[in-house]
Amino acid sequence: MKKLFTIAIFLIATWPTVFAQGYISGDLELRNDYYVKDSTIGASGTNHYDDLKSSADSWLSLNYTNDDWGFRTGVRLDMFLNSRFHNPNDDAYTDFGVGRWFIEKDFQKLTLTGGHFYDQFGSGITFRAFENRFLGIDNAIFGVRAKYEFNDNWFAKAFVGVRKNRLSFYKPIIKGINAEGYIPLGDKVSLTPGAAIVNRTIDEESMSTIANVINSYELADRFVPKYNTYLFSLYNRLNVGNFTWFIEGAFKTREAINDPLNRSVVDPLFVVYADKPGNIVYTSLTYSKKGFGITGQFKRTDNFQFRTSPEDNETLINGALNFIPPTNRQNSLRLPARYQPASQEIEETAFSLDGTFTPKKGITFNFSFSEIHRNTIDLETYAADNLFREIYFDNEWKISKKVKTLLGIQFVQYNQEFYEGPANLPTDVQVFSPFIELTYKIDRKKSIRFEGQYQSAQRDFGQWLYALVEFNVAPKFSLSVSDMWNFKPGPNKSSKNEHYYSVYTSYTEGPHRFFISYVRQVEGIVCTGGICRLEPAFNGVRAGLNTSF
Amino acid sequence: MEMMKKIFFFVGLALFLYACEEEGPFINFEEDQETLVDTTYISTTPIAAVNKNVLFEEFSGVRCSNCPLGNAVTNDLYATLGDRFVPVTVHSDFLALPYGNDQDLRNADANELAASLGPVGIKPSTFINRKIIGGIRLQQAPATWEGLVDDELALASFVDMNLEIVSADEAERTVRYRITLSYNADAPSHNMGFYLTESEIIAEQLDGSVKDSNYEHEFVLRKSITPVIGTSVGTDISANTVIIKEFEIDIDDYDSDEIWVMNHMYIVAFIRLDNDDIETATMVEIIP
Repeated sequence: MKKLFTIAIFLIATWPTVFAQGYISGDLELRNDYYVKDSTIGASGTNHYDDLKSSADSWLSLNYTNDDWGFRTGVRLDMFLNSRFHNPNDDAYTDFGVGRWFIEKDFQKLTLTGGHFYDQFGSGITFRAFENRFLGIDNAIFGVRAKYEFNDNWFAKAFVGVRKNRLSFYKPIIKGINAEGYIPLGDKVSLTPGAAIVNRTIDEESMSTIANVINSYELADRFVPKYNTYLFSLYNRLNVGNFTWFIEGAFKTREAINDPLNRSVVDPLFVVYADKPGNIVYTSLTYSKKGFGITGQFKRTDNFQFRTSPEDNETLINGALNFIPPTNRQNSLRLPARYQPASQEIEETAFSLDGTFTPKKGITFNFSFSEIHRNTIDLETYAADNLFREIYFDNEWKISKKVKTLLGIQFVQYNQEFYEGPANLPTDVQVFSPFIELTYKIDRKKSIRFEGQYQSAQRDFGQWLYALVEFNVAPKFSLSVSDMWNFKPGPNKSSKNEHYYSVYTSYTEGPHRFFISYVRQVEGIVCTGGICRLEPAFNGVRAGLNTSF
Repeated sequence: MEMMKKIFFFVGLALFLYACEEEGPFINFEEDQETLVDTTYISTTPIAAVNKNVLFEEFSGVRCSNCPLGNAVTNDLYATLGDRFVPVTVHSDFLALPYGNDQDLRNADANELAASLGPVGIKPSTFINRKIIGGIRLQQAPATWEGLVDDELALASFVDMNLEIVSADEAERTVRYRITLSYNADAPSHNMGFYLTESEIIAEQLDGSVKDSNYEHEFVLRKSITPVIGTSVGTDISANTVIIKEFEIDIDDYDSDEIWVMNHMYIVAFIRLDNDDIETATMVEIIP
């Protein structure tokens, strides 16, 4: 009691001093969904449409920073009320509490962090803790981290902790150490090398479940799974004049992995854990100068699955501990973004070439070519074995100060069965998508934007037309109306020629942005940075608020 | 030079970590017992609720001076509780080296059980349905055993086990047995395991400071027919499911020297949950 009293007196006495030197910041993101059943597009059959009718998700962060003290702390309140955010096909999820808290202090060259933190080693291949609310991902690590800066060019950091699982934690323990440096070798040449080691130890309960599963296999399929998995990576970025070359290679020790394509040696219909080591190589080479840039990327992944555990509940976006960068172009326009491949952790050989060329001010050409294969490439059946191929071309043309256009075309070949399963989906969806975007500036503040897109995907949804008209009064007001019309559905789709329209408006006042929309949305894969999830059809109203202070 | 030091540090650390060999969990690389009958159906009438039985795995040893005290408590509990109490005396290596030419009561399964859920560094001691009670799994004070067993017996079980001997051939030393599992509630993922135990084994036992050369050892674990954690029954078994399985074993497969006395032997069956707890257990004499 005496101690508590002393601490209270100390806090009261120092409180004004503390806050006089630091500052408080924060943000709030609030999203409400209201569900209107629409069985014609598949927006039905879950308790959201049948009974609950609404859901709310919110994140409120409050941070305190004191630069004089080298001290930072923060807390975030997460609230999921009848949420369908993490798993849209599942029943409603309700929970709320502290989604993140941390304290961080600099001690000269040493920085210590405790609580939830986000971080990554290299390109994220061996370890990445990150948040992507749009995909329902919050991969924070809860633990302690130390970072030491040897000098201006070299640092090392290490951590130990457990991975966050919504508002609780996965039990396996993650440890990692990473060192990175910068070596200047003249005016135009430099190296940025790094190395990382990560270890994951599976907990007894998870291992007991894994061992039970393995003991249920035929004798020939059984193996002793490892509690510990180690990942090692070396990476380097070389800058020589206009060239930048990044390469990262990583190796992972043997462990039980959950490969849905790995079949029993006794019964090929039966999926079993595989006991395999993994490796990955990712590299990119960029040449860039004024008006011209070109980037080539290559990636080969072999059994590089790294999750909290290989158990079935830790697949897709659940339990991931690393991030395998995508090589294909990340599209944002509605129809061209419909067929996006998720980065594969079991097997993938991918390469791409992206370029941009600006022959004169106001005119820019962009092109992209990418392919993704399995690791065994047979030259005789090369084209047919493709998992994904994209050829993309667009032209941005600023015709005048008032008029800007974007005109482009995209061709995609997509193995839907491989990326989306189940086994009766087509393996070669051919997608053709021309598009146009026009922006007309009415005056300094007002503008009107039009998007027009067509897509042909004969083995999937058939033919689409998409149009959007958006009116903006910068920086406060935006109103858009759009329709995505499946005017000629494919033979495998039972739906009629449905319209998927939406009306969206937002109002911004300083750092506060309010929005409300009516959305009728077709089911599809939503991807960000190579991480994808299936977003089921939606029909209803979305409203929300984003603010920061 | 500084750069070289850093590289050597990381390579050294990597080799060190890679060299850390681990034993891993128990994986059974032996053939599972053959299932002769495997029937599953949904009962048309609701299956009545039942309470747990107790699998009582007492760790003992012939060179353990206090173990006769533990054995006495176990025998008393069996005499009092009857079928609700399933005793198994486990002679893991610790204090269990046989005297003279006595038969060895130790075996690999006893050591596996002790190693996987132990360590067992104190005898007498026991697992009571392998549960962690009061923060410990290995209960060491015989005076507390009865109370802990009573607590366990008062809990409900999602499954009732009925173990029967279908046939036993003394000449061929084969046994065919049937287990019936009747689920009164939806069940989480679980395993089923089987032991062979034997009573009335005469082997010298240290009792206090005296060696008793005519000591009678009861319910000694001879062989775990399945892995000590059992084998999977299923993950999504719903209420009112009934599963019937029949197996046959040849005791000579485990006891080629024919030392074990079939007339004194039992088959023990138990249900184990993924967290290592035993849900319930039962036992039957091979030749009543």
